[in-house]
Amino acid sequence: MSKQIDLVEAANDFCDSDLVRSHQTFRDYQENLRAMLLSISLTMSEDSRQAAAWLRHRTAPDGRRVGWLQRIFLASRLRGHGNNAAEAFLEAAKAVVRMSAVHAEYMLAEQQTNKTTGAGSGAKRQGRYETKDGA
Amino acid sequence: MSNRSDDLGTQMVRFETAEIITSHEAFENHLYTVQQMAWTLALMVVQDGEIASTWLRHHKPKKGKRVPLLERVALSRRTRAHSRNVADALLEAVSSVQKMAGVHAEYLGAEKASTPK
Repeated sequence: MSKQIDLVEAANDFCDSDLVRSHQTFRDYQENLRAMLLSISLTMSEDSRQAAAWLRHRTAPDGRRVGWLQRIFLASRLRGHGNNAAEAFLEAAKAVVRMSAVHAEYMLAEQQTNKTTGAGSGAKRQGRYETKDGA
Repeated sequence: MSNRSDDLGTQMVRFETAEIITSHEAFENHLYTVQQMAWTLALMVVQDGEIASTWLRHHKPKKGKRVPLLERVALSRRTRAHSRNVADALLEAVSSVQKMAGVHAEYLGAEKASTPK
């Protein structure tokens, strides 16, 4: 579903993206943000699983161990919270998708406006066939 | 808290190359890094959403007409609102990470309380 991206590169792109130059750059920005959030979410869930496994099997250097049941209980709580964090990142990605839907709507509205009132603006005279490049 | 001047790229490097399970301290640092990163990201997303919504509100295509005023304003408002939703979700992630830190602190306390062999 999501392509593998380099998180650091994506973050740098995100930092110095020029989002309002044109519609295309805005779309690229949104796509980049979405991919970054998904990747963060994957990393987050992986990390929480590893950390839970670590806590479950951990023996302190001086030989201390938390009681068996409590250790498992705490580890599973940790993993649960980590998964919640990952899910929140996914939710953020969802909101980005919705934002890009709004942007698509805007572009459509722009297109529609120019199509219906083309006669007045002189862009297109009546009786012309419509071609792809608007000539 | 962190702000935009603290570069997101360096935070992301720290996030990706973190040694999470070597020691308790490393894990705590990692959690802190994640919080900072999500916080910075949320802040930047809100700022960018403001910029984008202003741009959409005033946008005039190079050739052709503008979108009608009311529609334009409505769409720009929705863009901004969605960007705020993104930030909201990110802050939710921060609070989950804080809960993780709480659980970890509890584990630390339990380990301290147990008897050494």
